[in-house]
Amino acid sequence: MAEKRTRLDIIGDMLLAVANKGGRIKPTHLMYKSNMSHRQMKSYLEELVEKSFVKRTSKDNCKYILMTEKGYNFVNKLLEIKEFEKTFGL
Amino acid sequence: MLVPASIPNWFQGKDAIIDFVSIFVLVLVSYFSVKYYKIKKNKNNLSLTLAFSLLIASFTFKILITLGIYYNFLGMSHLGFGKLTISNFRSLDTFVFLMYFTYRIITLFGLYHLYRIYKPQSKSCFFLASYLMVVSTFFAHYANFIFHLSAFVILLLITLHSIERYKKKKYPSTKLLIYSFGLITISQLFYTMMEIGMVYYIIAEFVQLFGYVGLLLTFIAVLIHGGKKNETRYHW
Repeated sequence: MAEKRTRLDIIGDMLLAVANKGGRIKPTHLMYKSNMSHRQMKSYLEELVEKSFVKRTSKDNCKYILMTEKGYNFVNKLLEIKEFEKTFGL
Repeated sequence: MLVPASIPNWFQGKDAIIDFVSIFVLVLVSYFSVKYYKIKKNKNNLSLTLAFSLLIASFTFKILITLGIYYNFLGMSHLGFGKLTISNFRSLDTFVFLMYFTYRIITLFGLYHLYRIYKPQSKSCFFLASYLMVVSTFFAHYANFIFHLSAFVILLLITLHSIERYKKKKYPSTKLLIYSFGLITISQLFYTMMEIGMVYYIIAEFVQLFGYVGLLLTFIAVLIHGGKKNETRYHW
């Protein structure tokens, strides 16, 4: 059975989902891509916006979530940590 | 008893430089491990730092002993590295004896702590292993090779575990780590033979150097591959 995701894992999954969509994603897509409920996503999204990892925007009546430079840096840091842990078996 | 003169002049002091390189690599990895812990709160990162910190401390003691021998601090010049035995202990300051004892015990505990990250041990196993490490450190005063043999066994277990992990997951950086740990393990085997001739001590030092350079390369590979996108997509 897969291990329960930590808070940081969920944040990482969300940021990766945005990054993989070229830095811009619709909230519903983000919810599906990061395997979350609507309520969960709302709370995590608030945190990401608060920490300036993403920002909300809208275009042609559609709501989008945009990745910031800080968000990209954080994703890269998380990938680095993951690689470190995989390599050293931590 | 072998005296420092057995070590060729060209190599004297070089061993301390090699140990400095090892310390540098261990400090670098430990620094990043703590940095990663602050973000992810993975306790294994702290354990790795603790294990590496113990090894840093042991290398520091080793350097002090080596320099003590070469520059004759506290009348150590008549000793060869790793040559302090109970028979010649009487003529030496207790301080020197403690330096050797601390160097050896810290090394073994550092390596054992590293092993415990991969194979968590029960409290009773920990106490048993600790007892055996203290005993082997004590007997190393009679025969230095016992200490290196103990270090070799622990390192071998760590390397074998890394091989097992590599077979399961196939991470390229783990392969590099296996080479590094493998070389460090082999270096201990050469240290055990330094009673036969100091040439083995020199070989061991160089093998150890390659091992730690390998560890540095492994870490550089982590930094390079960690932040790299795979086919324009980000992956865990």
